[in-house]
Amino acid sequence: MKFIKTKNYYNSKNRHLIIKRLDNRQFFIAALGAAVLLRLLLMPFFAHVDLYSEYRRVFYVLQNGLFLENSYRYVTFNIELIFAAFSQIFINVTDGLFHLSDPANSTASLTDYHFFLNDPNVYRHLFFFKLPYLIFDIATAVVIWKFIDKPEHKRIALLLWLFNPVTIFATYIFGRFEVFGLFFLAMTALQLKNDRLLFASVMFGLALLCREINLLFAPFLLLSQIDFKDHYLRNGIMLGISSITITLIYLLPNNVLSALGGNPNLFSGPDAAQQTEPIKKLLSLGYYWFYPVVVCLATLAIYTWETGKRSHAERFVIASSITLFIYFAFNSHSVHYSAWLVLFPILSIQYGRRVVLPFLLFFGAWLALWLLKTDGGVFTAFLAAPLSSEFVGMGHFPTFFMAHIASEDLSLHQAIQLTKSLFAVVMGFFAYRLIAHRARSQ
Amino acid sequence: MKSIFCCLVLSIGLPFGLSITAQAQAPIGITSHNDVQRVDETHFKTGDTDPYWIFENLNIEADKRILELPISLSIPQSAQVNLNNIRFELFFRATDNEGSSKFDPLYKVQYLFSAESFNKPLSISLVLPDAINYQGNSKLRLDIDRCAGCELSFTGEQIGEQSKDAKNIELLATSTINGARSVPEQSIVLNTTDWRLNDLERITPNSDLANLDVTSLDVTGLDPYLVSPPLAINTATLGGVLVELSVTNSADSSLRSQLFYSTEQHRFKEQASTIVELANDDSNIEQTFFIPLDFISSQAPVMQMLTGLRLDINQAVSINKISLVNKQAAKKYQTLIPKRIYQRKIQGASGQQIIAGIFGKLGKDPGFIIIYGLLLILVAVLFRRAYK
Repeated sequence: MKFIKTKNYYNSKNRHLIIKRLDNRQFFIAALGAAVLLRLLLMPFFAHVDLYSEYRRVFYVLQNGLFLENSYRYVTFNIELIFAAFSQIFINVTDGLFHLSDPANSTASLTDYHFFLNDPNVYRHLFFFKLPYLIFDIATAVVIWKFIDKPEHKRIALLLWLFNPVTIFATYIFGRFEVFGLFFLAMTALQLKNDRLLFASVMFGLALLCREINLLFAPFLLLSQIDFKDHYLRNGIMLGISSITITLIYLLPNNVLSALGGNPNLFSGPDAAQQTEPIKKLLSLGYYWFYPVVVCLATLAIYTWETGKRSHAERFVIASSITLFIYFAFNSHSVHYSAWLVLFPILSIQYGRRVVLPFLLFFGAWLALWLLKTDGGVFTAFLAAPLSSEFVGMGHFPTFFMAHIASEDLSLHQAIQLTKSLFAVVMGFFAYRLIAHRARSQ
Repeated sequence: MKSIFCCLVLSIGLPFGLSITAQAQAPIGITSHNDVQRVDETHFKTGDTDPYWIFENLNIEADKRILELPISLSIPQSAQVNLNNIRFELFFRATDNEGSSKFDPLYKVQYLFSAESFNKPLSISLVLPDAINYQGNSKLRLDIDRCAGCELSFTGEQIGEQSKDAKNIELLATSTINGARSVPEQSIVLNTTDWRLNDLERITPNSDLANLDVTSLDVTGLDPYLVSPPLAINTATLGGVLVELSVTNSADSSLRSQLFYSTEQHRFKEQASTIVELANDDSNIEQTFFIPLDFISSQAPVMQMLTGLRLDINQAVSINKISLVNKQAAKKYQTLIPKRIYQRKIQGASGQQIIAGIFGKLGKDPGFIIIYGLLLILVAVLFRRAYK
C-alpha cells in the first residue's frame, strides 16, 4: 500500500512540487553534486592537443626551476603550475613524456600528442591536469549563487552554469582553462555589487592575467564604476585609482620577474616579432569585422553612460554581455571561446533579464555552427577517444554533409555562412533580451 | 580457338551481378565470371564490386612470355574512371574444390594501367614475369579493379569499326607475389647489410675484430632511412619487428625512429608506419625495441603479405639486428614496446575498438582506477550526506 502511494505521488501532476520543496541549500547541493559527478566522469577521457602543450610548458618550468622566466598569462600558468607540482605525487613525469627540447617551440606536434595519448597513464594525467579547472568551475558556481539574490533566479542561474554544454565542452572535453578568467570576472561583478570598487579592479586585473581578451571589458568596467550621484572629482579619483590598479597588476609579473633577474619570455618563439602583425593589421582596419565591432562597442559605451543611474554591477554585467554578443556576432574563432559568452548573461538574471530561451537557442546555434565549421580540433580524433570522428565511422560531420545533404544550391561553405548568420541572430536576440527588459519596464 | 571462345562467351551470357558460375564443360577460355555483365556476344561490362573472370587452358607466347589473352578495353565516358588508377590482377595458383576454384592470394601478378587519356579502345597484352611458374593448362583468374562500368573483350580484336584503330600495348607486371614465407616459431633475422640506404653511409669497420653482422651507419643528409630488399612474408604468423641498435652519437637527447611497412596492397605510407622515441642517456646507448605488427593480418583484405620494411632514424646508429618475430613469440617482447609509440593503424581505430582500447589502457593503470573509483563514490556519498 505504501509503495502504491509513493508511486502515485511521483506520478502525480504535482511532481514539480518535489523540486519546489527543496530548500535553497538542498537544491544547491543536489545540483552541485550531480554537476561534480558529471565532470569527474568526463575529466580523464578527453583532451585537445593544446592541453598537452600547456602542461609540457608547465612541467618544463617546474622541472628546470625557471620560475622567473614566464610572465605570459601569469595567473593561469601559475595556478596550473601549483596543481602540477601537487600532481607529481600521483603522476610520473620523469620518463620524458613531457620532454620539451625547445621552449621557443612549445606547441606539441601531432606525433608528440599521440605519444601522450598512447601512454598507459594518459587518463591519470588528464584527470589531474583538469583538477584546477574543476575547482575554479565550482568556485564560479558559488560566486554566481552568491551574486543572485532571489531564490528562483539563483536556481535558474546555477543550472545554466553547471549544465550548459558550452563550458562543459570547453573545460572538460576540449580541456582549456577558460574558467580561471571567468571566475575572476564573476568575482569582479560580485565586488561591484558589494560596492567594493577597488577590490573589483584587483579581480579584473587578475582576470586580465588569465586571458588578455578580457581587456575588451576594461572600458565598461571603468564606466560602470562612475557613480553619477557623486562629485565628478571623486569619480575622477576613483577611475584613476582603478585604472592604475588594473594597469599595475597587468604589468606587474613581467616587470617584477625582470627586476628579479629573469627573462620572462621563455616560450616566445623566433616568430614573436611577427605576432605583432595581426595587431598592426587590426589597427589598420585590415579585418572586415573590426569596423562594425568598434562602432557597436562605442555605441555600447554611450548606452552604459546613459544608463548611469543603475548599479555598478548591473552596468558592468549588461555591458560586458553585450560586448561579447557584438564580438561573437562577427567572429567565431575556436569552438571553446564561446565559453566566454556564458557568464555575464547568467549574472544578468539578477537584474530580471529573461535569458533561458536565448541560452537554449545559443546552445543549438553553437552546436550547429561547430558541427559544420569543424576542423581537426573539434569533435575529432585530435581529442582523446572516444569523441572522435572515427567513433561512429562516419568521419567529420562536413564529410557526411557533403555526401548526403549538400547540393548545388547549398554548399558546405554556404551552410557555414548560414549558421554563422543564425548565430549572429541569436546574439542579437540575447542583446535584445538584456536591453529591452528595462525599456519595457520603464 | 577464336570460334570456341566465342561459343563459350555466348554460353555464359549471364545477367549482371550474378556470382561465379562454373562452366565445367568448357574445354578452353572462360569457365566462369563474377560481377560482370555480358553486353553482347563478344564483350562484357564490369560491375563495381568484384569483377573477375576465370580462364582455363591459356597459353603463353614462349619467347616473350606474353599471355595469349589480349584484352580489348574501352571506357565509356559515363564510367567516370580514373585512367591512372586501373589495376589488373592475375591469380595463378588455384585449388579446385567441389567444382569451384579457389585462388591463393599469395600467388598473383599485378599490372597497373595508366594513361593520360584515350578515346579509342586499347588492345592490352599481359607480360608474365619470369619469376612465376605458370603451367599452360592451369587455371587463371583475372580481376580488374577500379574500373566499374568499363567494357572488355578477350577476343584480341575490338568490336566493330573501332578495332582497326585499336592501339596495342604490352603491360609489364608492377608487382609479383610468388608465395610467401611464414615466420617460423621464433623469428627471422633479416640481413641488413644489403638494405638500400638514403642519406646514410655505411661506416667501414676499422678493426678486424669488428662484428661483420653489424651495420654501422652515419647520417649524411636530411632524410636518413634504410630500406629492405623485397620481402615476401606471410603476415598470418607475423607478430612484429624487433630492432636492436646502438646509438653511436648520442648528441640528441632522444632517438626517434619510424618503421614503415609495405604489403602487396600498398607501398610505404605514413598511415602504415610506427613512430617510436627512446630517451638517450649515457647509460642507455644500446637500444632494443619491439614494434607489434600483429594487426596487419586481421586487416582487410586478409592474407596480406609483408613486402618490405623501411626504418627511418634521426641520428647515427649501428644496426645490430632486425628480426621478424612470430606471433606467439611476440608475447615475450611486450616489455620492449617503447612507452612513446605512435601507431596510426591502431590509434585510428573506430567504434568498439576505441571503447576496448580505453578499457585496455585503464587496465594497465589499476592504481588510477582504484583512486578514481573511490573518489567518485566519496563525492557521491559526501553530497548525499550534505543534502540530508
